[in-house]
Amino acid sequence: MGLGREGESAVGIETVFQLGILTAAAVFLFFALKDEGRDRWLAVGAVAVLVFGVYAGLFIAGTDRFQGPPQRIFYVHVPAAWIAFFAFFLVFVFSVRYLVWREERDDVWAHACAEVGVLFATLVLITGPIWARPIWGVWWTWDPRLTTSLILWLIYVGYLMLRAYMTDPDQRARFAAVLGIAGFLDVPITHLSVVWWRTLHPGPVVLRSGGMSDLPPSMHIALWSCLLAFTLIFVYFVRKRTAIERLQARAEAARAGAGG
Amino acid sequence: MGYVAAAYAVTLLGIGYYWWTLWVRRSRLSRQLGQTPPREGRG
Repeated sequence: MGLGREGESAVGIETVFQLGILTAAAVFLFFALKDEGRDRWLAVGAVAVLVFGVYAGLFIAGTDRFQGPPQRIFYVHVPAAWIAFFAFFLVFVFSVRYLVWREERDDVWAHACAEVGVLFATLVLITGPIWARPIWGVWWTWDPRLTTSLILWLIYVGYLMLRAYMTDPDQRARFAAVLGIAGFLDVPITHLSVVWWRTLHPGPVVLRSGGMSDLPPSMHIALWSCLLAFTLIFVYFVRKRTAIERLQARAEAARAGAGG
Repeated sequence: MGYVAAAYAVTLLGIGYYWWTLWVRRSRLSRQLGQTPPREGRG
């Protein structure tokens, strides 16, 4: 198994890929080891699983018979989409909680999940066209799945812009919560768009109805390890983001105290 | 192969860039508060 098609020498390319993975691992480990407490081990674990997942996606998973090497983009594209959906689901949950109980903590968590969700949604919108170009022959088409995914991304970028530009904290939290709830409606539409409409985008291949999968075991290893890595990274980033929010609140309180 | 390289590179760079922005924001706020970055995971 490897990156190239059968009978094709890919030793040079494999070396470049391995060096790339090692470089990324070294940089990520540098950041991880700078952290403290439980977060340090969460970050180290996330980096270790990510390195394995990327390695599995590039070298362990077999080359797809029909699509060839570009199919390997699936192992980062699909888990990133799942994590983005999960993040926006959490924004929905925390937004509902905020509107019911008006706890500032829920607003902070919703904000953190939205920001990290937009990161993963952005990765989906970049890696998708990179896969589409060699497979469909175009970078982008106004297919239902692609269009609803772009709308989803725009909704949550709008959510972050709303938060950035509103100054009154109560009003900001309330408006953001309403948008976080309304925006989530696009998640099931995006997910089911491949079922509801005729679309170029591939349908579900991991689990079809009845629990059957089209993927061989080596592809499952790559897919699930990348999903685990992205999940750990998501948890780590959300924890760091909420910590920043707490520091920001303390800094603002200190400024207000110093001002009178 | 270039497409695969581009997709994986974008993914790793995106994650790395966001991680770096978190680090910078946290360091700046800690400096403003005149302290070392606090231990996380308490709330």
